[in-house]
Amino acid sequence: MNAPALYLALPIAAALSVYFLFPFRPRLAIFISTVLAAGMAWFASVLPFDAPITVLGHPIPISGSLSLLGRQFIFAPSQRSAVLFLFIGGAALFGGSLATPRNRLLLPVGWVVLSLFSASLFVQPFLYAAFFLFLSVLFLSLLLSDSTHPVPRGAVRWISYSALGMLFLLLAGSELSTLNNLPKDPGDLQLLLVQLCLGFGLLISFPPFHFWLPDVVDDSSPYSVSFILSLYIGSVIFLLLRFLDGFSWLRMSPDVYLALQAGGVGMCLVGGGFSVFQNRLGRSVGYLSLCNLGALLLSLSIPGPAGAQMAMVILAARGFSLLVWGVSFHALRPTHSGDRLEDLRGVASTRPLAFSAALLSGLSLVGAPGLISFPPLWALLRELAGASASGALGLLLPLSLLLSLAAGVLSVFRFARPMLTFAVSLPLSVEKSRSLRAFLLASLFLLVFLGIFPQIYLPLMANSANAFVNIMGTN
Amino acid sequence: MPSGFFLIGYFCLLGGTSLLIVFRSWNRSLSALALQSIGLGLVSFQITPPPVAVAKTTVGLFAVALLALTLSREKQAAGDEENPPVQALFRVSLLLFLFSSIVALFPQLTGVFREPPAGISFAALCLICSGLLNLGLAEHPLRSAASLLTILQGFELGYLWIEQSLLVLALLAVTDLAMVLVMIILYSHAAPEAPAESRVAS
Repeated sequence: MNAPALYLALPIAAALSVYFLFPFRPRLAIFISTVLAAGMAWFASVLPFDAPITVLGHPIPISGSLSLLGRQFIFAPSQRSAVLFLFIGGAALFGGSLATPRNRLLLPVGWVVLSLFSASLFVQPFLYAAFFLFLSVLFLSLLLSDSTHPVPRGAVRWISYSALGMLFLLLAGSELSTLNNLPKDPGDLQLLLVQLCLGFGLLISFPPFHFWLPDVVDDSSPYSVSFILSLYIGSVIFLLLRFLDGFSWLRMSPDVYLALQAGGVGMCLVGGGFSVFQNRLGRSVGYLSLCNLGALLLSLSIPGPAGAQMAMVILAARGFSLLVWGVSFHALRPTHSGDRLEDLRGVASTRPLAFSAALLSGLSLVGAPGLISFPPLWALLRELAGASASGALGLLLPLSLLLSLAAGVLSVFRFARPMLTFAVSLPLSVEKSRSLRAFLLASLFLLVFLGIFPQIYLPLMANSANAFVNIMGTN
Repeated sequence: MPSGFFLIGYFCLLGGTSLLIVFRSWNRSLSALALQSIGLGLVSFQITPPPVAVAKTTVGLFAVALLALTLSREKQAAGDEENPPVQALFRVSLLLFLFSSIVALFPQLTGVFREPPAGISFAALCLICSGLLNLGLAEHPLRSAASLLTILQGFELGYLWIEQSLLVLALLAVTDLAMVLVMIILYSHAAPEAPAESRVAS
């Protein structure tokens, strides 16, 4: 059995199957997708590479390498945790779709994207991952526009930025592959850094390349947006870590960490600043996700295993917070009403669970205490406070994190106030859909429970960083 | 490859990309995009085996055919924009500025693709820069698709000098076609809204 082929082909087969099954049995399609994705995640964690597996008494040897069109796709044992991370995320997002309005494309696109993300992890040389990430952008953008969300402006902008990002990364990658040591010429190093910064900046929507985000959260299905902001951004961060892992001189260069620090501070400040002045809840949470991305970049700016492990934990907590936000925002904003401050007046009385979940997930994105994102962000804050005395950006690093937290709390408070304005005409009730109620209750519980007892998920998520053997080997 | 073909290819490529910026009617824009794709194939003969160059042209023409088919189904000149002489002249002036900037900065820019032959490098940079300019001017999703295709074709021309593995060539072709197809699908969702918007505008 060929492991890379399995993880590339099985999701495509699943995509085709659920596409045709969904119109007749949507719940069954969602159930199959969730179980299969979780099963593939489990299989990735137990897959033996050094011994054959026995099925019905027959030994089946496992191959970790696939040759396709002259290039290798390699599933190395160190990548188990990354694949596990990816498919658990996929399973959670598939399962969450049970509580959102039906979208026939969500599951097939999700499966195709999982296949493309797997390809981006396996392909050698890894710089070709940029191709697969761009292809995943193309597929994911199909979720952003449909008959109920007909304005494709944000999707077109996202595709444009991502295409340019892909080109910069391919150029930087081709340059990097010819260099084995730190370039002697400072001009070469600067050119490479500019290419890498532009490439990743375009892919992770670093300001000013974030202008697709407000359009997308305004005009698209919130659940699709949460799918993109969690799974896709996660894959881009994986690629960034692979760049750092693959080139020792890049890992050793202080300029790279300075660029990550500047990027993190910029995203925290821009995201926090913009989120406070938004009049639409979707946009506000979109900007809070930028703050979270800033925290991710700041964690990557800490050299060595600690930074990578913190990034993995922040990514996981971010994914869960965005998943909860996607579902709760759907419930708060039915298809035909808006999400402006005045549109949300009194919704806390008609949809209390969705209101609470939207609020807590927004707060969780900026690391409010007691919620799932708090433990990794607290650890990051401590690291940054310790390192700030010697760093080039000094106290600005921990301060930007704290400012984004304050801005996030203020922004959530601005939206909570009108939502809590109870009118006589709006009777107190709960969400009608049983699956939505169950999902929101469970997610509210988990947002708080995992925030109080982080030891349950922290080690598992931190272990995902083991995929980056060189980073994890440095001290 | 005779140099005559290369010159014809160069003429087609630069002419196509220039006309794509100047024209605002779809019939002419698609013809310009087709001309550009033919030029791309002829120019890339200089650095790649003939089948690869033919494949490049075929992918470009296929993308043009997809765009043409989509627009023909609308039974109207969807996305045709008014193009008074002043606007056309403005675009021509932008083009002149663009080409003169590339010529002026060319010695510094050749390193981007690891020093390919000067003709290839210049053609690739012209395509990328004119595609970026057109992307900035584009409002219509399909025009954005044409602009992105121009950028990708320019990049492919330069990247061919660096990398010619089969997987990369296939991925580049898939990327071009998938991008155009996705833009068409996005446009098809938005298309029913277009007449209403234009009514409001008028």
